[in-house]
Amino acid sequence: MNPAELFDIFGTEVFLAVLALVLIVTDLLDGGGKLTGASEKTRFVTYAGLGAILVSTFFLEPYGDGQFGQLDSFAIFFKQFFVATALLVMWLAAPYEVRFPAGRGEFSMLIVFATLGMCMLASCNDFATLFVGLELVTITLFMLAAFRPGLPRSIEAGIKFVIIGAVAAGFMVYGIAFIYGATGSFDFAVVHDVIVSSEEMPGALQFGLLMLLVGLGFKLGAVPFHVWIPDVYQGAPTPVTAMLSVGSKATGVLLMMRLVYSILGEAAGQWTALLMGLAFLTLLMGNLGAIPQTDLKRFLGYSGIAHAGFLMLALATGSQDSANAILFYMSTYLFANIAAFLVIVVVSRTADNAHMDRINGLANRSPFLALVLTVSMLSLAGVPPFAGFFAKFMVLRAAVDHGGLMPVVILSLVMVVVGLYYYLCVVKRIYMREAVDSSVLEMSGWTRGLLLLCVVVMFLFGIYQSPLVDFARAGAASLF
Amino acid sequence: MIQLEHYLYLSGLVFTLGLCGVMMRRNVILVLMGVEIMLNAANLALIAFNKYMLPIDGIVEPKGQVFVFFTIAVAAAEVAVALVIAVALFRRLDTVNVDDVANLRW
Repeated sequence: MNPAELFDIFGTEVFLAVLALVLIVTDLLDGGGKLTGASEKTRFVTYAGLGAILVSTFFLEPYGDGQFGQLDSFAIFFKQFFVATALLVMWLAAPYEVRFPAGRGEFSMLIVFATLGMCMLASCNDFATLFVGLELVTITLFMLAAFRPGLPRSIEAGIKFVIIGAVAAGFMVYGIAFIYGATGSFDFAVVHDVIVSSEEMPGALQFGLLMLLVGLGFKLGAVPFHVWIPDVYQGAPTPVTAMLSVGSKATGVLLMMRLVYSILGEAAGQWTALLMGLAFLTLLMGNLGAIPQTDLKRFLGYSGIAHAGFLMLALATGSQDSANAILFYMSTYLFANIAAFLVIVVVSRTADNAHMDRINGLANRSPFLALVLTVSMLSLAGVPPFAGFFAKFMVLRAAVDHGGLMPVVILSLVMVVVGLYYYLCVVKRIYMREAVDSSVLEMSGWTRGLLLLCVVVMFLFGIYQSPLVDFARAGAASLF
Repeated sequence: MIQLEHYLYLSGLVFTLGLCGVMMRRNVILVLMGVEIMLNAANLALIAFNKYMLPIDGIVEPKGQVFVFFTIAVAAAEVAVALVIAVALFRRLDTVNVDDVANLRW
């Protein structure tokens, strides 16, 4: 691969790598040897850098296949998604950063490195790129989950995440070894050719793909690989939980889409039953698990598993409509989650935990925050005027068209009602309970701005979806 | 004569041993050793597949062997981070037993 081709495909990644290195130097020069570093300057560099990179992704032109990567409209969509996520997470982290005893400069740097890995995954067309990119994301997130070593729960989240993540990586490499053994190549296109040209998939290949599914299911948070999600979400610092719940889940979604639409392609029908079963279990586990939760971050973890179930249902459908639906779903999920986690950051400031009691009586303490959290919960639940409703509608419409998925469609409809129950329980706490803590909730103008942005996006794309639908359709077009 | 299957049986055995180690050991360091054993089983399978790969135009590209370098490098990074977290765990909670790390549940 010559340098020009490298830059055409991995340009965004090169910029992100440079930004991360600049952040290290900025932190070093400005921190004066103190561990806490100078958060002001590094934060400014992070915002400016990520903002510039986000703008640059809108000028990317599809390039096609290279030796280690590809740049199609699907990859570009996800690069935009990941850089936007990183920017929103850093924005969300601004009021939280004071709680880090050390390493504020490194925090921005690690988020940028995780984003770099995610963007790499968006362009991968080779199992080597996939493995390296996935591990870059996972290992940086291990560090970020344990970023507050003074808190036992952060350490616990870190150690649980490391062990389960490393086992998932082991399964994935073992799977890749067998895929290589059966096809003689790490290239997605070659693997795809072997799959569609053979009457029956060779046993080694089938085994390899199933092992790969373990690794991807871990990222996506699909049952039975979801066990880490509640613990890690609860224990990790809140901005990191936001990154995990949006960015990390999106990498799982993206790779599952590549697996189902590009690698399996025409043979995806063989996997419908398997994906349908996983979707069934994931929907059941996520929704029923969310009901008894008393910690907001843990609650959002289970809610995330439930959403992964919806995405699995769309993947099992395997049609072009479902691919559009997945991209739309992820975009609405991004804003709903960022809003919810930012409210958690603000309300948990005094007690430093996210127990649900913290939002009791929020309507009296801050009507604005109450409104934001309510809109976010209703959007996640899929209540009509908000974007989340249309996302669920698109997934279900694609699944109904498929026909063979009826049992899961019916279950998912029941689960939407169950979801409505537990999301409305949160809303009930906001409006009907007495506050346990009536101190004034302070917010900077920037925080208000981000909350307002999320609410506007959730509301606007709920009533006027076509721009986002077109954007998602353009993104998914290159898969077919 | 040693065939591909023999290497694969060995690799499967090593992988299973590693997985058993992860699930049954209670010491974090030994759990991490189990993970390393799983990754090495995958490396063994990659190299064995490469060795017995049918040549195309008389050559076999050493792709599997190159992939092993990626795996080794990534495993080293992973274990470095894991050990840092294990040290932090020991300093904060005074234990390296995974059963004692169970404050977050349900």
